[in-house]
Amino acid sequence: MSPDILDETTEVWFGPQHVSAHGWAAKLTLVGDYVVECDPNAGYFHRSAEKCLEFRNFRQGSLIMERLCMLEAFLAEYPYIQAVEKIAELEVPERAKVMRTIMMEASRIHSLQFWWGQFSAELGLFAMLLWPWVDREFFLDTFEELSGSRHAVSYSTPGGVKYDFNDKVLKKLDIALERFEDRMPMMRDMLMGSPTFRARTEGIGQYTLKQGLKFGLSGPPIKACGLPMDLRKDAPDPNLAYDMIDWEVPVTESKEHPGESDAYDRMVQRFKEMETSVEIIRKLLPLVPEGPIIDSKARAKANRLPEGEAYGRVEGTRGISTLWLKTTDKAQTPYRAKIRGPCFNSYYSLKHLVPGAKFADFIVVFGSLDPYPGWWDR
Amino acid sequence: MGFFRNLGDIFQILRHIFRQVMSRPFTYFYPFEDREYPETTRGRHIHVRENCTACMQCVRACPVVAISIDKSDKRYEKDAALYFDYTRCIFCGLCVQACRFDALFHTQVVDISEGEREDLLYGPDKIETLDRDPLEWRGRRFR
Amino acid sequence: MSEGAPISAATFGRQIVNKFPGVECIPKEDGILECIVPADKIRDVVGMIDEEIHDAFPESVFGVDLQEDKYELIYIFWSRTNRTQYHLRVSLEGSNPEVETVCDIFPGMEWHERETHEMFGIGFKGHPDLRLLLLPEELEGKFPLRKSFVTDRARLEEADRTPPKPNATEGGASE
Repeated sequence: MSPDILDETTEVWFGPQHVSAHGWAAKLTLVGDYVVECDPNAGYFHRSAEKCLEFRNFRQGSLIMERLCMLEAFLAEYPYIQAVEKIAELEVPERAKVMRTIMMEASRIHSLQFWWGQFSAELGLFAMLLWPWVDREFFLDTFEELSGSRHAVSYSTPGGVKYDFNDKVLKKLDIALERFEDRMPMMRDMLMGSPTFRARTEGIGQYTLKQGLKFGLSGPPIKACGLPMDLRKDAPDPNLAYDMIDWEVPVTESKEHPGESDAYDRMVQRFKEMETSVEIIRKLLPLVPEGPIIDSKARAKANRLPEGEAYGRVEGTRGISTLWLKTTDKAQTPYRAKIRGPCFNSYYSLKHLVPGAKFADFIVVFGSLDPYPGWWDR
Repeated sequence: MGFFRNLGDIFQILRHIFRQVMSRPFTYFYPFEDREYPETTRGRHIHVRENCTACMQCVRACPVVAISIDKSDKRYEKDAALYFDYTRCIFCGLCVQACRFDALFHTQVVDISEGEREDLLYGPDKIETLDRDPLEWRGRRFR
Repeated sequence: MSEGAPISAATFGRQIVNKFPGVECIPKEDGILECIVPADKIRDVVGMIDEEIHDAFPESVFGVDLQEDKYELIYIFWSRTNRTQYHLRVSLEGSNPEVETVCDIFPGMEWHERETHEMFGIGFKGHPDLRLLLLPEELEGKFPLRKSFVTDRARLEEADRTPPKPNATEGGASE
């Protein structure tokens, strides 16, 4: 390398036309092959969801929420539902609680499978793109049988859920889980054991726990540092059924660099998350009680809400997603709704994590944080 | 020994090839075949006019204002004509849930794409009838 | 990273009030500590959260338009050890109010402040980068999340739905 290459800097736009960058772009400043500055740009998908929520009533609001992240639709719509339930003081029937939890975990597996395929493709392992996606189809079939739609499910509603389980749904869910349990360990070992994969991910995008917390990262990127920060366990929601069963928050602690996480640890962590989700579903399925699926007064109560403020939070696939809701007295629509998407912070943290890495490793750092543009653009 | 090990590998490869050749492809050859949709599928709507009471609940529930109603157009005692705008509809299912008189349903017909924008504005005649049986389909092949 | 003993919401509230007398702290149910902070003290209180709570997690900061040139900023932090959410509320007045930034203490707040700036017109003194984040350039200075911003209401009228309470008078017209 001749010295004058190091004197010059080059600016490269990564996206928005790049195939891995559908809807986001980052301006990278390069010296030689190394990134010295990264400036992530947001706003390509901005649909002003917060303003839209101010014009929708409380039954319609969750439709906007689930469209922010179609991959985890059951999880994404939940903060809104939780906030409305808190303000309206709705009681949720036991059956609805368990069904919600089961479907949220199924949606977590499905979302992680999507990410797993996409991340492998970003590393150049294209066979691994389609294998998890084939298994993912079975979860989509379950969602379709349950709610009638594959992605935009609109399942939860203030006071309960909209669609009931039946034998067909349970059968399809069972097929999906069995296929997943059957094929996942094989494919995981194939991917994680691959020397190419290890060489591309180890030591890339490394940060300490304290740094991760300060960047506002949550979910798997933090759990991969060894801190079991998980809202399912830390702040159990009375309207969900996580406290009905015994389960452990999965944590990854690396031997080489304890208290820190790199792209490889985050991958390991996400496989553990999937296993935990399967375990939760398997334990909850026999516990689905009989009864109504929606509070009979919920419809009338959710029509107009009293004055109040509530903060709904849920541990999503990608981290903590929250919604802050303020209503005025007898309002049909919220006064203010603030959505906090987990990827807003993980996308921001590229600014600090990428400089110093090679240009080819940029997409590894990005992919290992599991970002979804809908969450930051809103 | 090396010979037998190679033979074992070859058998494994052959087994894999046979499994792949014999098994059905996972994808559908779409314009000529399709899968069956479950009963719950939220496809295009059908309006049962005999049961309709013109209560406007579906119009109020719609988050994207895809439904409009004409109360003067009466065929039975207290019904009304519905106009569906499928350029706006997001198939969320709120209107069907809001209907308490069994007058509005989803069907399994999901392939409603058209060449002209006007064809997606379903008037009262089009929304009350199904031009084909939901399980009958132009490819005629379900898997 | 040293694991400290959990500090309850009420205890921490008292610590804040002892150190900064102008602050008002109300422990609430569900493990929420609500602090009403004067605008000039916000940096001190956030700095104290950073020092005292080793696993403070910056959840978000956002504005609320209370109309008639009154705004409220809400900072939310979460601590796993203490199982407490810290909601810091700051009241602001004026057409273009300003507070001091906290994004050098918690880098995760940087984009949240940037978004609040473009959506509400609240200035953050000392913020390194206040360019537009989500909005297109033609909406610069229009502050769309303020209640005075007029949106397209054609569909609301079509649906015969009551528009939201605040009556819009001026601001950026979208049509």
